[in-house]
Order: sequence, then C-alpha cells, then structure tokens
Amino acid sequence: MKFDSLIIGGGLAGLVCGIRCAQAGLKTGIISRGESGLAFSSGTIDLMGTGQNRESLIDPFKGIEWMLLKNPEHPYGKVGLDNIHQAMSWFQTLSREIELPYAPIAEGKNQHRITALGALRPTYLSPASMVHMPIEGKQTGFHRVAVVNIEGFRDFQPELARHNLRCLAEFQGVEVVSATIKLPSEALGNRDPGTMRSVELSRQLDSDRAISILAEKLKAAIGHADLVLLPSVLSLSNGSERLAQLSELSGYKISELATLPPSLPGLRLSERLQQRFHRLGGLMMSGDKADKGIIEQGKVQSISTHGNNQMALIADHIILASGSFMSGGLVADRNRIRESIFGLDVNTDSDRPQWANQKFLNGKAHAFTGFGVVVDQYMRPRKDNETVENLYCIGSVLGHAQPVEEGSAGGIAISTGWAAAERIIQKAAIQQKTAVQKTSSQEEIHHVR
Amino acid sequence: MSVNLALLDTSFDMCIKCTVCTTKCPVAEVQPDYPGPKQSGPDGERWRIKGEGFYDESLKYCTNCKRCEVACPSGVEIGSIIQKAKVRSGRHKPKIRDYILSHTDLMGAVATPVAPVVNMVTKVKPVRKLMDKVLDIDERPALPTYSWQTFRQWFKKDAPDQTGFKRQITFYHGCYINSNDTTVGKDLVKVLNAMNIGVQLLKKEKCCGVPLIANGFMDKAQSNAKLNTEQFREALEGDSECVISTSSSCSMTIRDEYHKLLEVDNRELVDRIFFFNTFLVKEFEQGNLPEMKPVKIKIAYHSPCHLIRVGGIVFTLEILRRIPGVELHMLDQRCCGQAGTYGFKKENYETSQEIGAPIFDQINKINPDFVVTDCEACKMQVESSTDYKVLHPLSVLARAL
Ligand SMILES: Cc1cc2nc3c(=O)[nH]c(=O)nc-3n(C[C@H](O)[C@H](O)[C@H](O)COP(=O)(O)OP(=O)(O)OC[C@H]3O[C@@H](n4cnc5c(N)ncnc54)[C@H](O)[C@@H]3O)c2cc1C
Ligand code: SF4
Ligand code: SF4
Repeated sequence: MKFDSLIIGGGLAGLVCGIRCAQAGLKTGIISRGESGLAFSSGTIDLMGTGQNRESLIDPFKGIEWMLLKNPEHPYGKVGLDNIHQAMSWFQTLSREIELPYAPIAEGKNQHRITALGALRPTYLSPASMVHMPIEGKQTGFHRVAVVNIEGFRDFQPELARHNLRCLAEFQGVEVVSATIKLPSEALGNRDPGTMRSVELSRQLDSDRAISILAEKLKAAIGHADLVLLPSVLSLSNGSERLAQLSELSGYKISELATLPPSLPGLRLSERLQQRFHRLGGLMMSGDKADKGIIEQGKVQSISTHGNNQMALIADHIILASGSFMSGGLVADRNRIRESIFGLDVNTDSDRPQWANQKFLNGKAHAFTGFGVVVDQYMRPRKDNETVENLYCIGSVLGHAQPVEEGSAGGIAISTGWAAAERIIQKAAIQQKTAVQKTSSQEEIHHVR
Repeated sequence: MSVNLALLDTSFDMCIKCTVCTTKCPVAEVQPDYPGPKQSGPDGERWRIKGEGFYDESLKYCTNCKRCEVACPSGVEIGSIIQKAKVRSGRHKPKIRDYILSHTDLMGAVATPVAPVVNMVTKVKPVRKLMDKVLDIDERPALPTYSWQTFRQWFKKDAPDQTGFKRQITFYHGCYINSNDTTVGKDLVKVLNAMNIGVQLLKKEKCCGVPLIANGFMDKAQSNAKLNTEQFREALEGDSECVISTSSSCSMTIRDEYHKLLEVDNRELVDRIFFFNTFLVKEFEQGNLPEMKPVKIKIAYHSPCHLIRVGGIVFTLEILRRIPGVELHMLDQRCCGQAGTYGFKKENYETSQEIGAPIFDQINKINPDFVVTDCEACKMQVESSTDYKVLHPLSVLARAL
C-alpha cells in the first residue's frame, strides 16, 4: 500500500511529524509497536534545561546556541534556531487544539517543575495541571505549600517530598507541610487503595462524586495553603479537567506530580496526540512492527511489517522515529551498536569499555546516551556511507545529543519531527506542481491537435 | 493433552513492569476484580510456573482481546500467556454451555436444517430463561440466528458459474458465514467476480478454532487446524492463487495461532492465506478496481480488536475510502466487549456491556445509516446492544457494484 509519508514509531517525535503531515493533507501512516517514552515521562517538555556547568538554564534558546558552538552535529544544529522557535510555538497551538494546553512560564523562558521526590528540574513547556515555577530569583512566591497523598497509595511518599523541598534554597521561608487524607471506601469503589497503581486509583476517582468528597477532605486536612501538590491520580483521559474541578471545589491552587510509571500526564499527552492524528485522517498501524526496510539505489523502496508480510508498504517519504535503546530503535550487540530496521550508519567508533562510565549514576553523561544515527542537514541518514534520499530520522534515534544530561528530549522530538514534516510538505508541493504542469501541458497538446 | 502448553514461552521475562498494559485493558477498566494484564500475565506467570497452587481464578475475566499486547513497549505476548495458563490449569473445565458456544460448525450443522424453528425458539423468553438457568447463557444478548440454506448449499446450487474466470482463489468461509449469515460470502463472490476473479471452496473445512481455544477445547482446535491446513495445501497446489478469509478472527488464528499456539506448522502456506482486505488493496493498487457507482450512505466504522493487533485496520479503511459517496465516521478504537463468545456467558454479560457502552453511545451520537466492521462477534454485540444494523466492509463494496 502506498503512502505519501510513512512513519516508523509512534512516540512524541513520530506523532508530531505525523500530525503535521496529516494537517497538510498528506496520506500519512504511523507504524507503532507499543507505547513510547511518553508513558514514562513527566509529561513536561524539556527543550534545553542544563548548561555546560550543570546549572539550570533560564533561557533555553541561548543554551542551545552555546551548546551548538561546541557540538554543531547536535540534532538542534540540523533544525536551526528559527525553526526550533517555530516548532515549539506550533506545538503550543496544537496543544490547545487537543485541549491539553502546554505553555512556558514566559515566552522563551524555562521554568522549574517539581518532581515526586521533591526536587526541581528545569523544563520548557508544562501542561496547565502543573504549577509554573520561575527559575530566576530564589523566591517561589508561596507561603504555605501542602504535599498531600491519598491514604494507602504506595507510589508516592509525601513526607519525603516535603523534606526534600524544605532543603531547597527556593523553599527557604516557605512553610511546607504534608498530609495524608483518608477517603471513604465508597469513593474508592470499596477497594483498598493499597492494592492500586495510579491508573487504577484514577479510574475510581474519575467521578463528580469522588472529586467532591476529595475536595471536602482536602479542606479539612490542610487548612490554608497557597499551593497543594497531589500525585497524578486523577483520571487518565480527563485529568486536567478533573484537576480544575477539584481546584474550583476546594478553592486551592493544585498542581499534579507525575509518579512512578505509568505516568498519567505522559500517557494523557500520548492519547490526545493519537486521537488528533486519527481525526485528521492519519492511518495508525498500532500493534504492528516494522521488520525490515529495503534500501536500493539510495532510496527506501519498501517496508515490511511483522503483521503484514504479504503487502509491502511504500511511500514517497519514510520517517524513522523508532527511539533509542529503550524503544528498540537502537540495539546494543556485544561489540557494536546498530540501528535496528535499516542498519543505518551510527556514530560509535569506540570500543565497548568506553561506552559507559565506571559509575552509573554519578551525574555524568555516558557515551552510549549520545549514540545514534548520523544525518545530513535535512536529517537524512547514511547507509554504508551513502545518503538515503527519501528517509528522515527524528527524535531520540538521532546521535550526537545527550538528552538526559542536557534536558532536551522532548524539544528534540518536537523540533526534528516538525522540521522533517515541513521539508516533506515542501517536497510534496513541488512534486504536485510538476505533476499538475505535466497534465496541463498534456491537455494543451490535446487542444492543439 | 497433546498440545504442548508447558514453558514454551518465557517472553514474560521481557516485562519491564511499567504497567502500561493495565492502563489499556478494557476489562480492568470496568471490572475491579480483575487484576489486569500485568499481574495476570507476566507477574502471575512467574508464580504459576512454580506450581498449580498459584493459579488465580480471576484469569477467567480476560477476553483475549490483545489490547494489552498492542500497548506493551516490550513485546510481551500477555494475552497469549493468559490463555495458555487458563488451559494449562485445567480449572476451567469447559461446561456443556461452553461446548455449545464453541462448537460453532457442529451447532451450525445441527441447526440449519431446522433454522426457522431454532431461530424462533432462541427468541422465546421462557426458553432463554431456561438456557440462562441451566446453561449459564445469559438471557439478554441476542443469540446468532441460523440460515435455512448454508453458504455451501447456496454456492453449489445457486452461485453464478465460477469456471469461466482465468484467475481463481479459494474462499475459507468459516462457520458464521456458512450457518448464520451467508451475506458476506455472497458479497465476496460478487465483488471478486466483478474483478474477474473466480471463487472456489475447499473440499471441506472445519471451524478455524478460535472459539474452541477460548473455551479450552485445545485438542479439538488442534485437529481442526490440521484438517484445515491439509485442505489449504491441497487447494494451493491446485489452480488457486491464494486462500481468502473474510473474518478477522479466523484469519488471525490461522495465520498466527496455528503455528504458535496449536503447533500445526503452516509457515510455508501463511503468505498465501489472506484476509480479504490485504488481497483487495493489493489488487486495487495493481489497477484491478471494479467499476463502482456511488453509495450514498453514512457509516460508522468500528475497529475489531484482533484486526488492530495485526495492524490491519488501515487496509479496510483504504477500501472504504475508495467507494464513492460513502460518508465515513471513525469510532474511537475501543473494545465492543463481545470478544467472541465471552459476552454470551452469564458471568460476563455485565462486564461485556460495560466495556462496550462508550462505543454504543458514540454510535447513537453519530446516528449513521450503518455501522461497519470486519468481525462477526462485534457485529452481534453492536446489533444486540444498539438499534443499528451492522455491515461487513465487503457488503458496502458490493452495494457499489
Ligand atoms: C523514563 C523517561 C522519562 C522521560 N521524561 C521526559 C521529560 O520529563 N521531559 C521530556 O521532554 N522528555 C522526557 N522523556 C523523553 C520523551 O518522552 C521521549 O522519549 C523522547 O521525546 C523521544 O521520543 P521519540 O518519539 O524519539 O522516541 P520514543 O518515545 O522512544 O518512541 C519510539 C517509538 O517507536 C516504536 N518503535 C521502535 N521500533 C519500532 C519498529 N521496528 N516498528 C514500529 N515501531 C517501533 C517504539 O515502540 C516507540 O513507541 C523521558 C523518557 C523516558 C524513557
Ligand atoms: S487480552 Fe484484553 S482482556 Fe485480556 S488482559 Fe489483555 S487487554 Fe485485558
Ligand atoms: S506493558 Fe509490557 S512491559 Fe509493561 S508491565 Fe505490561 S507486560 Fe510488562
């Protein structure tokens, strides 16, 4: 079956690229094997959070400029600053269309998000269900902050979060309290919350009645507070709406904290983006897996999938968005790293002992997290040193980035996904123009005859 | 037991414990007594391999819809792990009820000669009450009705002559088309003939095995698989290009489960066994498109779980999009709750209805002329739970000819 553009991988990068292509009216397919990194992510979008000296960056765009001086091969270098700006504002518009608005604290400025362990991490865009905290200045503007859990829910420790928050310079002079509220068992479907993970709890709490009980309990337990931090357990699909409802009923400003996987804020974004892609007429092959791609004469000729080896899929433009090691886009064999579908060229020349640091968690980036596919200025990869004309690589399958250390994963996914789509849309328009010219000139010939 | 269900499969070790599967399980969403795919699948399996004592009754709630497998980032075949555990445990001693619901070809053979009587009787309230009491077949859902003439009988006596076509394919009709609703079979003949392709039937065929597997009759499923595979081989050695099935569950079973679950090696044949949609799209793309007139209908398309699992929805959409005049609405990709014979069983009826409720609501909102889906079980569920008639995609295409 033939597509205009065919994307392998339905993570943030693949979905962004797919939605942009479908918006432009291209016949677009996404082959997606299982949920993506979004299911584990905090649900906020990092752009460039950390500077060369491990400091939190206030201006991510400046940070990108500095970083590119040292590392021009970085995916951001291929996209270019102007395009990164455009991609991020396109994403914000999209987020409003899917009714899950994402915003920075101020245009072009990073903010802090609060983690479930009570640490602050720089990020660029966050959903309305999370509080925007400034990085500049050491004042949060809050006087009394309450960290609250629902009794029995085991994937969140409010005392730990409270303790850690208190230790932060930003929270000096802020009264941080913690509380655990007990819900009547009728609000929990007569079930013990100790047996539930965040999704299961969220199913029980996804009702007007449960929310109003929760609001009453909150008021009784914490008294005055100008910020309430709650683990993310309010509805998977309608979490933002439920949080707003709880805020209104209780009178508190409430912010959700992403807990251990599955992360509801991340899954929510994934769900809404998939829905958008469907509604734009996008063709989702979920549950299937791209097995192999045939590259001949410098072009991808066809893709075969696990579920449908009977019909090769072909497309004018193929986009590889298969992620990094965790998602299977890259595979580590004993002595080499490979890209799993096409066997594209990757940026690893070192031997295995150099792939990782001696200590796993000493805060320094490992070499392997920077491994990935090497691309040209249009994000086209090479196979055996020859450029593949109609293939584009986006997101974390790309090499030369250190997404964890930099705090840049989401931004790379969005900006490379958007930029590849724009390039494809342009090329498709040119193709169409020449096709139209051809047919109209043929018609002219008809007339003359 | 001759089917080896022992530790063939240690794919549960690939589980990274992320719980993503449980967020997508339609049963866990409405039935809090079901621990969900993570616990019932890979987690539970680690205990179950230690001994039978760790078997958990709640596995019975799983419908084998495979939504969990679609969501899993690590490729764990959760649904299959659960099905095998159920059978291995031997605790789900199939009841007479399960025998009746699962032996679809046998029941068809018994019922079709006296179809009007059976159809009438299974609609009579006291009879349904009795079936409910004695057999645990819930009295509420509409049971499949039987056709007075089987598809095979029609094909022999009344189908247009097929010998004049140079190209020939073999149609595996399955039980539902043969005994319950012959329409889709007739429509396939009509459509393929319009594309200059003749249709043959297998000399004989048995139920593909899907209801037998779901109800624990593994030996019977295996012997059916052997017979069907022999028949496929014979047909493909003859003048038939390929075998085509119009049921998404039959073709998933034949293509995937015969080899993996039932240990009937058909790997050299599967590339020539097609679900109708891939075959048609292939032909369309090669320019073999039947002449079509506009069909001015509004349809709502429901994606069957098993077709999602194999990534096949897009091919059906490609066909529907090529039919002029059709106004296509996509229903959200949720399970309808029927899952083969699951929704007929008394202990599952409520769960089944609750799972399907959002789909039924959406259908009512769209108010289409028809709901369209590729799966006969989904069709029964939607027709039983809404006021809308359900068509197979081929029947929409046949209307355009
Ligand atoms: C634990 C964790 C926390 C994170 N937190 C944040 C955060 O706070 N902020 C932030 O901005 N980002 C975060 N991220 C990163 C972010 O969620 C994305 O992972 C990142 O943006 C990369 O997206 P991607 O689309 O390139 O790849 P992925 O998200 O990895 O998606 C790749 C997809 O491709 C599929 N795939 C792979 N091979 C095939 C194949 N052969 N056929 C079909 N499909 C295939 C995979 O199954 C997967 O669904 C986090 C990631 C993780 C893992
Ligand atoms: S197969 Fe379906 S019902 Fe069974 S565990 Fe998986 S998602 Fe749930
Ligand atoms: S989704 Fe897959 S990896 Fe995650 S818990 Fe379920 S089975 Fe394990």
